[in-house]
Amino acid sequence: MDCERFKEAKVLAAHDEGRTPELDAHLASCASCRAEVEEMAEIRRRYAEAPAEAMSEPLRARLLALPRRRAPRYAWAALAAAAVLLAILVAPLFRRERPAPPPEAPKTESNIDLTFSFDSVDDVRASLPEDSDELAATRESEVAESEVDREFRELGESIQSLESYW
Amino acid sequence: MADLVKGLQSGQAWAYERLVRDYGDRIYRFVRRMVGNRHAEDVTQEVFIRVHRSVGSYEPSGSFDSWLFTIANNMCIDNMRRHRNDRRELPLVEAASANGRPPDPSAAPVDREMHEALMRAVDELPEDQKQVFLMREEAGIPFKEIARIVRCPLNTALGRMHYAMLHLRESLKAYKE
Repeated sequence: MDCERFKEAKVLAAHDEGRTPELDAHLASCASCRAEVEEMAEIRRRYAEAPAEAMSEPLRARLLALPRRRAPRYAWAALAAAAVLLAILVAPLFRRERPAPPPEAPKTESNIDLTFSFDSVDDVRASLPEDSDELAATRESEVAESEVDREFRELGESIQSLESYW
Repeated sequence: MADLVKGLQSGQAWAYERLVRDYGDRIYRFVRRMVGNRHAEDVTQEVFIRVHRSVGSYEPSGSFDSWLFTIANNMCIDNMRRHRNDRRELPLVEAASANGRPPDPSAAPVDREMHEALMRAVDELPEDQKQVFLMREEAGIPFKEIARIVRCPLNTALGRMHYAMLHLRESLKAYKE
């Protein structure tokens, strides 16, 4: 008898997962394999009939509370992720506001010394060319300034005369 | 089933409650037989945390039950590897009463003894046989799916079940004579 050959087929048959005509023919002639299939079915039935163990109520309560317990963690994670994202987006804006320092000119021997030193305003005037446009503009502004001064002075005098009248 | 999955994926409270109600005890029993009483509650909780976290990426290529018990199986294997040296613990009979479910009073004493002997024998099965036995008998997963989950050929899964059955048959022999 080649009972060993039907080992897997017998398991499938005992679980109602397929039954080949070949196996059926073998079972018809082999009492031992027939008994084996029946015993497997009986073990299954006994296992199914055994009092079902249920989880404890505290465990059931813990399982039911899991989403509530995990939700705040998700919320914090989402908040942290949002903060990081915001920081990444905003960081370049701050960097743009701070102007980069001007590049330092390399000091070479051929550079001209452009520093000046004046002791007084007269020195400045003396350094300017006599008939330049710039000088003319400066003189006009000096005149304009003195006219404003005069108006202020006249206004002050009228106020003083009013005060003495009262 | 599809509405349960959609509900879970959209974070609906009713869906999660239904998951615990419909699958909680089955997962717990599977886990408990796999890892033993001491770690059963922790591992069951880990399974539900993983399911809650991963259900968004669940794609129904196989059945939802297969997906769920694949997670349970993987977490049991992880736990067993971590605690391989300290896995000797309460026999099932004690564990069952410690679990708050009293033995069925209507069952005849012989039947009760047979049930207890059967459960003890399941607990004593080698890991690979127990895995296949529990997936088929506790989770109701077909053998083809079991073979895919435990990554072995179908005939290997069936062979493991065959040897598991032989072992369990021996454990019941004394009660049948």
